[in-house]
Order: sequence, then C-alpha cells, then structure tokens
Amino acid sequence: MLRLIHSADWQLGARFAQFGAKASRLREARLVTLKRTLELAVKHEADAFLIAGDLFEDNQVDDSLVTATVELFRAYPALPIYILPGNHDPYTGPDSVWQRKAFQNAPANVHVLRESGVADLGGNTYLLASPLHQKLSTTDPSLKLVELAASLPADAIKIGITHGALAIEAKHQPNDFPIALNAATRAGLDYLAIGHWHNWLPDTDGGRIVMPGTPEPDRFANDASGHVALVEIAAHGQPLRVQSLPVATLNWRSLLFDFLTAEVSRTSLAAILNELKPTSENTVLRVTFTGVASPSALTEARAWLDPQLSTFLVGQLIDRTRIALSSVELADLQTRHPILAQVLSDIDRIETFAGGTVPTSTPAPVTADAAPPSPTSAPLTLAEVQKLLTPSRIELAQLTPEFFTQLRQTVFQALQEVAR
Amino acid sequence: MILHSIKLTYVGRFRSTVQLGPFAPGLNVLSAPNESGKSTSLHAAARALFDRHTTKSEELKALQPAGTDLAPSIAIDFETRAGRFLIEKTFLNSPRSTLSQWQSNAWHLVADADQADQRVQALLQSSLPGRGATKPANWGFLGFLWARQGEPAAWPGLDDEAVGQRIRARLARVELDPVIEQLRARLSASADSILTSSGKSKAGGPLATAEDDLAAIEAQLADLRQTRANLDVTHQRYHQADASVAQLEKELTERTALANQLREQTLAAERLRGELDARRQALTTAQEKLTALAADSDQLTSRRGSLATTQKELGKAEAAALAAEQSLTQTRTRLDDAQAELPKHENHLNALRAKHQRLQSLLKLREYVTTAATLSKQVTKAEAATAEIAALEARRAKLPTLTTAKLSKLEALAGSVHTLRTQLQALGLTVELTPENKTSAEIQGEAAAHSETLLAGKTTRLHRPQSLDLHLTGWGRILIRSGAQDAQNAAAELATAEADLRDALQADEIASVEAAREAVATGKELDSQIKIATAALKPHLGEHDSLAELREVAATATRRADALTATLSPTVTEKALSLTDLETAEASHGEALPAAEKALKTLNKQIDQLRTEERTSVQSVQGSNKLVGEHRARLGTLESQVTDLSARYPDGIESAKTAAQLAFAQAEARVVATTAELPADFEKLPERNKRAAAALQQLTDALKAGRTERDQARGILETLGGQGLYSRETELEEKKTEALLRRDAARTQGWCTRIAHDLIEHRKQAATKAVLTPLESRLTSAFAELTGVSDRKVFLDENLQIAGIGRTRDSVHAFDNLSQGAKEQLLLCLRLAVAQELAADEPQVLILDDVLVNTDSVRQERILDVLSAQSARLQIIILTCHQDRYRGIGQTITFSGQQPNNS
Repeated sequence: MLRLIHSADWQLGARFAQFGAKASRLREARLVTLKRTLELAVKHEADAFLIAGDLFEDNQVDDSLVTATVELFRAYPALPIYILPGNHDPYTGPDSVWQRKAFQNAPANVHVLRESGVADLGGNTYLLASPLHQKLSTTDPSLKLVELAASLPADAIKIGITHGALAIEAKHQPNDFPIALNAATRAGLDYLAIGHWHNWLPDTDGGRIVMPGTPEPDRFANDASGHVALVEIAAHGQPLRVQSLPVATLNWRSLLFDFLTAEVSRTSLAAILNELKPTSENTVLRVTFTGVASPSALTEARAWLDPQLSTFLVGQLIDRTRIALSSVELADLQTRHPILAQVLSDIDRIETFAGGTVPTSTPAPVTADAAPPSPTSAPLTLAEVQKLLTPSRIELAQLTPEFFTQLRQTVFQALQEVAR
Repeated sequence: MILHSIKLTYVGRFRSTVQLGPFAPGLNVLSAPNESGKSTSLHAAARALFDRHTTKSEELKALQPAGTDLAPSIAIDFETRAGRFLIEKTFLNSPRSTLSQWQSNAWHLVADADQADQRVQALLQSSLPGRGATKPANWGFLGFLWARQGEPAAWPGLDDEAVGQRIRARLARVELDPVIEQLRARLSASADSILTSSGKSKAGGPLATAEDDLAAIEAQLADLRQTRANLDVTHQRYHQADASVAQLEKELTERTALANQLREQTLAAERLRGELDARRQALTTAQEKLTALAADSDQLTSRRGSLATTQKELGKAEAAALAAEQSLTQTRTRLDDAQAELPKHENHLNALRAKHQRLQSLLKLREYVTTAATLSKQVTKAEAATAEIAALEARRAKLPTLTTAKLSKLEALAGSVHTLRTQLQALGLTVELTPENKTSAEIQGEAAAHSETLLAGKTTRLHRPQSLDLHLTGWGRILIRSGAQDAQNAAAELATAEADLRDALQADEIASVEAAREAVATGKELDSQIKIATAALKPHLGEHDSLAELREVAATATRRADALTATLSPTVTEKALSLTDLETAEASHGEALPAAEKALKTLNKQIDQLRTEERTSVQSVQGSNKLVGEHRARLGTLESQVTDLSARYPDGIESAKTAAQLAFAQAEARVVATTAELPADFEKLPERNKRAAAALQQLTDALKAGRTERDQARGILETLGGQGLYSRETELEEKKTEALLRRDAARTQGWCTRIAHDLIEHRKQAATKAVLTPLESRLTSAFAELTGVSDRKVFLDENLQIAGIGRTRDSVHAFDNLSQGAKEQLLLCLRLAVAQELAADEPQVLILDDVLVNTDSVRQERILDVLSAQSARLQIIILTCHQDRYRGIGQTITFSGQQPNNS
C-alpha cells in the first residue's frame, strides 16, 4: 500500500498587508502548520510527502525563511519530501528560491523537482513531475506527464505531480496553466497531485485528480482551506483512497452585527466571542457593523466590542452602518440646537451632491410649540457647498458614504463631549 | 449707556480739575479750537471706563501733563439700563478705582479696585486685552458708536472673538447656543491640529506625520521595486546569454571538426605542391641548358661569317690610306709657294699708304696756316672796335645816373613849386601903377632887385605874394605888405615844396631841373652811339661771343699749324709745291691704294684655301689609318671567340644539342605527372584554412564573452535572489497599509472637523445675515435722507461691514470705491442705525469727533436735520472745531473749572 501526503500552496512568506504589524504572526503560523503536517505524515507512515507547487509565496522570499523551511525538512530524514516549483516559486534559474544555498545543501530526503522527469519511489512506483518554469502559461503542464508515463512499465503505480488551474469553464484564466479535467486518465496515472487553488477540491477525473487547497487559510472567504490529502493506493489501476486531514493553525472568522436587530445581534455575537475566547490568540476575527445606527447606539456598541476584539490575534471592526437620528432625537435637536440640526441637514445635502445616499429618515414634523422655521434654513446649493469645500482643498468627488458616516459620528461625538 | 459728565484732573493740558458737562440727553456740541483738549478729554474718559486702574501702559502715560509725573485722575458720571454710576479712577502713581451708584439722591460706593473695574466692564459689555491698554475693539458697542477722528471705516470689535460674537448676536438677535459655540471651537481646534487654514496637512500633525511616513515607505518601495525590475531584466539577460552560449558551443564543436578535416587536406596538398615545384625547377634547368646550346651554335656560325667579311674590308682600308698620303704631299707643296709671294704684296701696299698719308698731312698744314692768318686779322679789327665802345661807355659813366622817371619826378616837384608860387602871387598883392609920366620902378625881390619901366598913362600891374618893396623914381620907396593868413599858408607850402625840390636835386647831385634834363638827353645820345659801335664789333667777332674767345681761337689755330709743321718737317721741295700740285699727287695716290689692297686680298684667300685642303687631306689619312686599325682589332677578337666556342664542345656542338633535348623531354613528363595528382582547388585550400581558423577564433571569443555575460548575470541573480526582496517588500507593504490607514483616518478626521466647523459657521453667518434686513432698512433710510436719493439701498455683508450701495445686492457700488464724503456719511448712518437698534434696550450715546470733514454744506445741513431728529432717542455728543457748522443746534458744552495751562 502506497501512502502519500499531498499538500500544496503553502505560500510561505505570504503578505497580509491588510493586517499591518500583525501580519508576521500570520506568516509564522504557516511554519507551525508545516511542522504539524510533517509530523502527521510520519504518524501516517507516509511513503512520500508531496508539495504540488507554491511552497513559497515568491522566489524572492527571505533567506531566513528558506533556511528555516529546509531545516524543518531536515528534522524528518526518513520522510522523502518531493517539492514541485509552482507558479509563485517557478524554477527560473539562479534567482530561483530552489537555487539558494539551503536547497543546494538540502538533506537527502528533500527532492526539488526542478525539471520534468520521473522519480523512482521504489516498489514499482514512480513519481512523474512537470514543474513550472514561469509564472504564466496557457500550456497544460500535465501534457508532459503523458510523455513521461509512456516510458514506464504498464503495471507500475504512476503518480503525477504538477501545478495549475483546473480547466473548468469560466473558472480559470486561460494563462493560468490550465490542466485538463481528464489529465490523470489521459496520462494513465493512478493519481495526479496538483495545486493552485486554495480550497479543497477532491473529485476531478474520477477522484484521481486532487487539489488539496492551502493548508493554512489566508482569507475569510477560503472556508474550505486548511487541509492536506492522505492518499492510499494499493496497486496500479486499483481504486484509491483520499482522505482530507485538517492541519490549519489559525481560525479565520467573519461575523456580523446588524443594528436592525441590535439586541439579537449582540446576544449572538457575545455567544460566538465566548466560544472563540479559548482560541483567541489563533483567531483572525472580523466583525462588521451594518444597518442604521443612532450615534448613541453606535458609540455604545463600540464601547462594548472594542475590548473584546483586542484579545484576538487579529480583531478587526468594519463599520458599515449609517448614522441616523430618530424622529424624536431630531426634533429634540432642532429645539435645543437649531443650528446643529441645520448642519446635519447640510451634511445630508452634501452627501447627495457627492453621489452618496441621503438617510431615509426625515426630520420630525414641527410641533406647535417648536421654534418657527428659520428663514436661513434654505438647503445648501451646490455653489455654496463648493465655496465651503474649496478653501480646505476638499473635492466633492473624494467624499465617500463612509466619510459622511464618519462626519456625522464626529459631530455627534464632539457634541457629546462638549455637552458632558 | 449715556454720559452725564466727565471730570478730569492732571490730564493732558489740564493741570487741575476741569469738568465737561453736564451733558443733555439729546444733542450736545462741544465746540473749541484745535488742541484745546476736546479729544483728549474723551479719550481719558474711555480709559477710565474701560482700562484697568492698574494699567501702566504708554497710552495711560500719554495722559499725564507734559513733563510731569502727576497721576491722571478721571471721574465719569454715566447711566446704563442698570442705573446711574460714577466711576472714578486714578492711574499710574497712585492707582485707584471706585464705582458708586446714584441711589436715593446720593452716590453709594458699589465696588472698588479690581471689582470696580470688572463691574464697569460687565455694565458696558466690554472686554480686556491680554495685556496693556484697551483698544476700541474692547469697548463693546461704544467702540463703534464713538466715531473718532481719522479712524478706519470699519466695525471695531468684530475682530475680537467675544465682543464680535456679542455684537452680531445683539444686532442679529440670534440667541447664541453656548453648546454649539463650544462644539464649533472644539471642531475648529481639532481641524487646526490636522490641517492648515488652506487645507494642507499641518506640520507635526498626525496627517503630516502619516504622509511623511508614507512618503518614506513609498521611496523605499520604489527602490525595492527598481531592484526587482533589475532582477527581472537580469533574469532575461541570463536566459538569453545561456541560450546564446549553448548555441555557440554547438557551433564551435561543428566548426572545429570541419576545420580539422580541412587542415588534413591542406597538408597533403602542400606536400604534392612542394614536389611539383621541385620538378618544375628541373624542367626549367633542362630548358635553359637547351637554349644555351642553341645560342652557342648560332653564335659560332655568325662569328665565322664575320671573320671573312672583316678580312676583305681590311684590304680596302689599307689601299685608301696610301692614296690619302699622296694627296696630302701635293697640297703642302702648293701652299708653300703661295706663302712665299705674300710679303712682296704687303710691302708695296704699305709704301703706297705712307706716301698718301703724308700728302694728306701737307694739305692739312696748308689749311691750318691759312686759318691762323685769317683769325689774326679778325682779332686786330675787333680790338679797334672794342676800344671805341669803351671810350663811349666812359663818357656815359660820367653823366648823373638819372632815369626818365626820376626826371619826371623832378619836373613834377619844380612844377609844384611854380604852381604854388603863382598861387601865392595871386593871393598876394597886386599894385597897378599908372604914372602920369614915364618913370621907372625898382622892385626889390627876394633874391635881388630889378628895375621895371613904367610908361605914362599905362597901367603896370605888379604881383607879389606878401609884400612889395618898390622904389619909385620920384616917389621914393613904397612898401606894401599883406597881412592875410592864406598868403602865409601858401608861402609855407611853397617853402616846403622848394625844400623838397632842393633835396631831390641834391640827392641826384644835380644843380637844377634844366641840368637834369640835359643830362638825360646826353645819356640817351651816348647809349645810341654805344649800340652802333657794338653792332660794328659783331662781324669782327664772327661766330665767337667775345674778343677774348676770338683771341683764344686765333692762338689755338696758330699753335696747331706750328705743331703740324714741326711734326711733318716739310722738305724744301714739298714747301715749294703748290697747293694744286699737292692735291693732284694726293688724288693719284688715293686711286692706286685700292688696287694694291685687292691684289693682297686675293693672295690671302688662295693661301686659306690651300690650308683647308691640307687639313682635309690630313683627316683623310688619319681616317684611313684608323679604319685599318679597327678592322685588324675586330679580326683578332673574332678569331679568339671562334676558338673559345669550339673549345667548349670537344665532342662537337651538335651531339651536345641532342643530349640536352632528351633531358628536357624527360623533365617535362615528370611535371605533368605530379600536376595530375594535385586536387583541382588545392590553391584555395590555404585561404579556406585561414578562414576556418578565423571563424573558430571569433566563435571562441564570442563564446567567452557569452559565458562571461551569463556568469555575471548568474552572479547578480544569485545575489539578488538571496536578498529576500519579496519579503522586504511585504514588510514595507504592511507598513504602508498601516501608514495609509493612519493617513486616511487623520485626513478624514481633519476633513470631518473642518467641514462640520465650516457648516456651523456658515449657518451662523446665514442666520446673522437673515436678520440684517432691519439694520439695512434703517441705514438705507438714513442715507436716503442725507443724500436726497431714495432709490438706492445700502447693503451689509455677512460680517456686518458695509458692502456698498446700489439697487440690488448683486450690483452694488463697493464701499471701498466710494468717495471719502460718502464713506464718512455712510458710516455715520450705520452708527445711527446701530445706535437706534441698541437704544431699544437702553439709552445710547453716539460720539462724533469731527468726523464730517469731507461733507459739503448741503449735506451738512441734512445731517443736522437727521441728528436733530435722532436726538429725541439718542444722546449725541459732537466734538468740533467748526463752531459755525453746529451753531443753533443742541446744547453747547464747555470746559468748566480751571482753564488749561497754556504753559
């Protein structure tokens, strides 16, 4: 029985610019995952550890990372590790990551498949490799496997390994190394280990082509990532067994807080946060505020959430709410601070000119005892808006809906501070 | 506020206490000349109302009487809606402040010191500056309602935040919301900490810091990306170089094999070619030998023919030489005969020539002698003529040297004397004597006396210039004198003329004019005779110019005749011969000479001819002998050559020729055989070989360069590839994201606070502007009343400044462009309008300190109408130095108490 651990798209050294200073923690997590996976391979007595491309995010990753990776492999000398250059780390020559000293002096168990060829895995089992030498190509890299397989004994177990997108209609780019959906059958392979996409995709070509996805998730959307494949093959032509092994270190979660149902949202979010608390140091969390919020509700929600987010490896708060006053609040504001009420109306007006949306809430009807309408309450004209903005070098087109939300929040926040 | 009175002590010119007031509630006019202390007293009042009593600024010191250290003290009795108050302040040396209120008909102290100051400040809604004295901007409404001489036409106080707000609020009746005001201030502070007033990021602020960080990160990223770009370029270069090296290596291998093959072919061909060259050399040698043999054979035959010919020619030459010798001997004999005849002919000719020459000399001698005799006679005649001329010239020389011109001058002088004398006589005395009987009269003249006979009955007229001295016989002496002046002058002129004539005669050494005339006539006679004698001498002189020359020529002729005679020494016979005989003999000898010369010439010609013949014969003999010698030498040479050639071929020349022909044929056959073995293009092989070597070298060089290029690129790639550029870029990108977030947050915060602030400000201004209408109406009404033009409106701007006048707000005539008169009138109207507005709440004072300096008399009257009308509601205090303009209106105010010290 042949046992393989098939992984791909480790993307070591990947960039997480959106997380700023915390990005390095996310990179470090990938090496932890790699170590755990190697241990898993030993545990499963794997005959080989396959990396089907993109071990590194780029050929120009830092040398310390390359050395650390090779040293990690060196720690498992009995485990043959076969590494295929992918589109992120193609074998391009002297500048390639595979020509670094660490790989030049790699231990015997590490095999970098720099050129197309066949590696004898022993026991009438062969690994047919078609590595990438460039970042883009419209050529199917698995075509070379057909030629390579032709020279091998018919009864040998033939494992292919390459890197590229599956040629699924409307799901791949033409220059993204498109791999035929019958590539394994076409070459007479028992299994074709590929990599490129980051989510688990096991059932192509009768289950003989497997895309295991990235072992460590790298975005909130990749919810099918975080696995490697354990492949078992008894003999050539026999059905194979593919098992998904979860290996991810970090947990990426994206949660919503809708102010439409503020109480429910808060209860639900509190429960999840409580649940995540034990693993908060390994959780990348994003909470998104949505809906229409009053200034006070928003301030209160922020005050509740901010301390909790700070305990997570990454705790991101995205505010997509729109600030709006209730009719009562607005009427009160008009009574107590008529100029401010007018200013809020002006902000709505500017947002209209800027192409944003005007809050649906309308000013409260004027009550009998309210102050008579001011003769100066005429809405702002575009010329007046321009006259207001020009001295401060602000262009209307630069003002986004988020800006107006922030503007209203700023006004209310400042009002609260001075009113205290 | 209105004023009741002002009391000043030690202020300006006032060294004691003076009082101004009491002021009426309506119109007050304080009229006084310039520098009488009007404005100073009002300014001092302002200091007392608005400044801290402890202030020691220059403005306060300026109140002190000049040159003193006295403490200015001011007391103001004023009234607000809160009541009537008395503020008393002393500044500088002894600062003091008390505030009293009028209650129950008496002043009651309300506050003192700082509290008094603060209370007044509250009553008057004024403010205090950070330090120093107050300015009109701090004086609340009074700052505006107090129109000061020469002050700018603007709202004082609006620049002051607190006062400005209050003024706007009061005028616009906008209830200021303190919360909104705080909000505005907070927003403003927040915006100002991020942005400048012109919207730029503020240095040191969060936005500027984030932008700076971002710029630094961008710069590093740009460097890094440039390095990555270089890496990509080098990558391409490496692959190109690698492919090129592989291609070159392949080509080098192929070309090396081809070059080796070509080298082998070339070596084989070179060997064959060496052999061919040797065989060709042998063939050439055989050919040369055969050619030499043929030449020797031909030369032997030729030499033998020449030998026979030369022997025949030698015989002929020897015969010719003998004949030439004989001819020479005959010619020399004839020449000797002719030369023997030649002396006879020459002697005859010489004798003939000598005789002829002597005859010619004798003839010349006869001629010389004759010439000498002739000339001698001529000399004698010329000497006689010359002697005659000399005698005439001697006579001529004795005559005075007078010319005709000089004579004319003398005659003119004599004429002048005569004329003067006649004139004198005409002027002088005329005595007519008519005796009855004949008598005589002796007339005494100047020189001598003469006698004249006087006939009876006949009148004798006597003329004398001056006097007439008569001795009449029988009558005695009668002297008649003239005393006339003319006669005296004429006598003087005559004396002068006579003296001149005498001087002239003496100069020429002549006695009289008559003598002069005679001398000139004699001179002319002698000149004529000398001319005739000179003419007679000329023929005797002949062709000679002078007698001396003639004498010299005659002496020369005599010497020549004597010399020839001495030379010839004529014989007696010869002397005896006549001239004709001599001429005949000379002619005879002259004819014989040419015949003798001709005979000698003929003989000489014959001798020359014979000599030529002799030379020809000698040459002929020498030529014949030379030819004989040449033939003999040639014959010897030919015989020697024939002997030598025959000796070279002991077996005979023909057999030697046959052997050489055989050797040539064999060599030729060997060359043909070797040539057939050589490849057809063997001559091109060395060039091909050279080309192949050069190509190989080029290929090697290119390969070397390609490998260097590839290795260099590889080195760069290995170096750059190991630098972890991506990881570094990742790090920078993450920092950039963080900086971008900071920048965007700061900018958003800046913009939010700025926009919010500006919107609040905008709404405030709009509210203010909305309630300006009543103020504008009052202002328009007052200005219309003043100008008499009712269809114009006065407009205020958002800051309550006068924007201008016009029919609509959009077409105003700007305030700054109005005349000075219109400006000061508009400002007066604005003050009136504001004062009216404020008077609704409490009584107001309007102080006008000589502000209408540019207003004409018509409008002045209208202004007085307006002020009079307004005085029912306002207290108006007018300070003026033009009493006449305000005469008859309001209450007149004067200084009371001690008068100003004019010292």
